[in-house]
Amino acid sequence: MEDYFALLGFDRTFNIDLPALRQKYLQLSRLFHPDFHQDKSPEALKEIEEKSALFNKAWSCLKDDNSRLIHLIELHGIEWEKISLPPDFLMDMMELNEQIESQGKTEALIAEIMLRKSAHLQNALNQGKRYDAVQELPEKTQALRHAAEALLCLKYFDRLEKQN
Amino acid sequence: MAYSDKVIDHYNNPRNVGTLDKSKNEVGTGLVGAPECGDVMRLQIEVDPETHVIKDARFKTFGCGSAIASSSLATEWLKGKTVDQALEIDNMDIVEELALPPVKIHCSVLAEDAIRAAINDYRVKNGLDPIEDNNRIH
Repeated sequence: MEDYFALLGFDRTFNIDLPALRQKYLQLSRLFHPDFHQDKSPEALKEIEEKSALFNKAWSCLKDDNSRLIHLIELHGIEWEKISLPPDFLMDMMELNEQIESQGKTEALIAEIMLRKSAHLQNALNQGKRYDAVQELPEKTQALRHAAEALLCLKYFDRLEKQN
Repeated sequence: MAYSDKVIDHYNNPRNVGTLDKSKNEVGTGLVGAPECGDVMRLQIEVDPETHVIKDARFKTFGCGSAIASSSLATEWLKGKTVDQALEIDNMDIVEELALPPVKIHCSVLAEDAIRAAINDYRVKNGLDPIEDNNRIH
């Protein structure tokens, strides 16, 4: 899989220097702008266009906390299917779903969903920060695994929010 | 995407919705979820301790029509089977019976996982080792 950090010449970190990243992206985009390479052979031009598209993808992935964290998780070879959520979590989800079914979406339930959702999001971001703070690879991977768990939990709340 | 008549039938008239007393030793409870869509499924079996035949099965699923139909069908199939026979239920049997399209196969996987989780809960409660899972717990 493509390492967007390496592609733009940055270290793998969760906290990233966004202004510097943006500058690098703009610089590379200018350099590889297809308009400036019309004199090249079709093969070379195609390569430049592909490179340019890749820089766009890298920038849109790395500029956002959530997708940058997901990219780190996947770069470290963590497989989403192999992550198991805390045992009590699904029980809680079942109960929340049942409460919504019996009472409808009361204001208290909406508030609870929002509160718990933001707690999981915060947890994911904190694990990203921990990833930067720890030195050894196993610790880094562990932080990302916890981040992945938190992101999976979030998906259940996305569904609760959409549900009527 | 069109649902098959069987899916619609199970969706409109789900069989065996409800709960069994999970504190009882004869009752195994399986709780599984699919993070891709946020579906949650609870499936319970009540086993005759003498014959190991599943006397009753109940489910509750919060999810799409296919997930509801898969778990509803699973409870129908479970009743009357022994625990060992129940382990043989394969998600592709559910796919075939309900004519699930490829994008909905994961709903049948969820039902199979729920069956295994319920059986393992029953086994552990009764001093048996859990059956190895294929790493599909989530």
